[in-house]
Amino acid sequence: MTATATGESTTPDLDDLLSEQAINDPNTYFRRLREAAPVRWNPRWHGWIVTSYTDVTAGFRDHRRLSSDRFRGPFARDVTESKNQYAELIGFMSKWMFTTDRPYHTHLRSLVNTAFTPRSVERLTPRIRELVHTLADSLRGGEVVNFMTKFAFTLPVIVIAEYLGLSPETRQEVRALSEDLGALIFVQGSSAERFANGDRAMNGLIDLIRPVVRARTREPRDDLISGMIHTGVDGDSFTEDEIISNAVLMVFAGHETTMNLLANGIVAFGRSPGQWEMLKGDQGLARTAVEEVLRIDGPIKALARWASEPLELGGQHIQANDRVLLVQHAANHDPAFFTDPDRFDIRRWPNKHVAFGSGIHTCLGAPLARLETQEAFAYLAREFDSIEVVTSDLRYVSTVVSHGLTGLDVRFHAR
Amino acid sequence: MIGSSGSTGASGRVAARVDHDLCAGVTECLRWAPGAFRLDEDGLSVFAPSGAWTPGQLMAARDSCPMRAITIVPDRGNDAADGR
Repeated sequence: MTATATGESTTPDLDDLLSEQAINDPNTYFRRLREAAPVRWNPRWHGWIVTSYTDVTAGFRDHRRLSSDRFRGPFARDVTESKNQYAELIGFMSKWMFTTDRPYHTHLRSLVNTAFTPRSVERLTPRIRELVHTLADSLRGGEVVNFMTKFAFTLPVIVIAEYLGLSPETRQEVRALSEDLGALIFVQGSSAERFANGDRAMNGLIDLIRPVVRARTREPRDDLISGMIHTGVDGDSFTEDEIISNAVLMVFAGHETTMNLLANGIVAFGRSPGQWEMLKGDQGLARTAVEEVLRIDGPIKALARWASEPLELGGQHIQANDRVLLVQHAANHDPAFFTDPDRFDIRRWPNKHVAFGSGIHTCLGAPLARLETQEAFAYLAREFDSIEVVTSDLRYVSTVVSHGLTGLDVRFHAR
Repeated sequence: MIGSSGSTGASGRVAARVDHDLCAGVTECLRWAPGAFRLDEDGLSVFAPSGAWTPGQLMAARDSCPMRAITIVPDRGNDAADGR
């Protein structure tokens, strides 16, 4: 049999996690995967792809057998090969809580957890509101605006930089560096290039943050870096490098994901004018609306683990050292768990999505991300009659992990 | 889903309720009040006092929960046969 010469593509390859369909139409792609088998071996990725809600949550909660450690096991090769060339980068990455297992994970997380609880971040509300109001002004006038640069990027990066205690002048630099670091973490581009750029970015961020840490050691202020220096639970404390490393983590984790959440939310509302009407009528719905955006189009599609010992998942025998990809996007669209999963319903409740993961590695910044996006959508709904997404062909960044747009032009119509 | 069985020592005036529509098994509560919570077979937290704990620890557990899954409720002890 020969293929037809029309160029008409057949069903996209189910094993290609970076196919056009996987990147730009993940609902369809992951539905096909889940229907083929909810836990399925992928020879190209060289691991198991997990797409049912039950198996994804079970995987996240089994932190004992499904390791996040990037310095042992099948994901360690990249790192060990780069160890000599990029010693500092690797050294700082080894102090990130999301790529470590217990007990070191507990040490790292416990020292910052209190700063990110719902109660702690609540005191940022007035400042977040002020920023939302200012940034929303740049969306007025009925012109086509680049929502990413005008709003979605700016809000989270200012919030996290100020919370940490970094000066406002460093904002653009922080953004550029954190994007390069994000490319390393979210696995974008070739390995050599990623590490070279990531190394530059990490060193740039370290150079920005270290002087702040030293200044706060001498003179504490009411900011997170001071908090990390002076917090101690049960006699536990951070080293200077741990503080810098985790401040770097918060910078990049705290802005790219929230930026994509805001943008993906605009797209969801742009497609469902009725839901925007509903939110306009009752901005108190912003709370459940944000959960629904997280579920239907969250900024993280999937996170990888590896088996530190054999286990069974979804009827499959997973061997020690196998890679396991827990696909949150697929779990959040699993019809076995969510009624009418592809429908955007801002009143959906309960809404137990896994956009923030689950188990001990559940996103530390979830309360802050929720607060920022709730404030943003509530205010935008108060101020704008309708959202017109102008970008006709939405394109997403080509990575397995994140789900973010390459651009989003929008026209906001005044009330 | 709750458990508000008997309490230990001087802490007998309050209990905790864990909302399983919100709990994600982050386990912060087990760190702050290890005597008051345990994980069920799904890895979600349940209020199940097994050791010593104080109301202060219970409040710390509530406040540390990133999912806002924990509420503090009056402990009605053995009278609390309401099954909620």
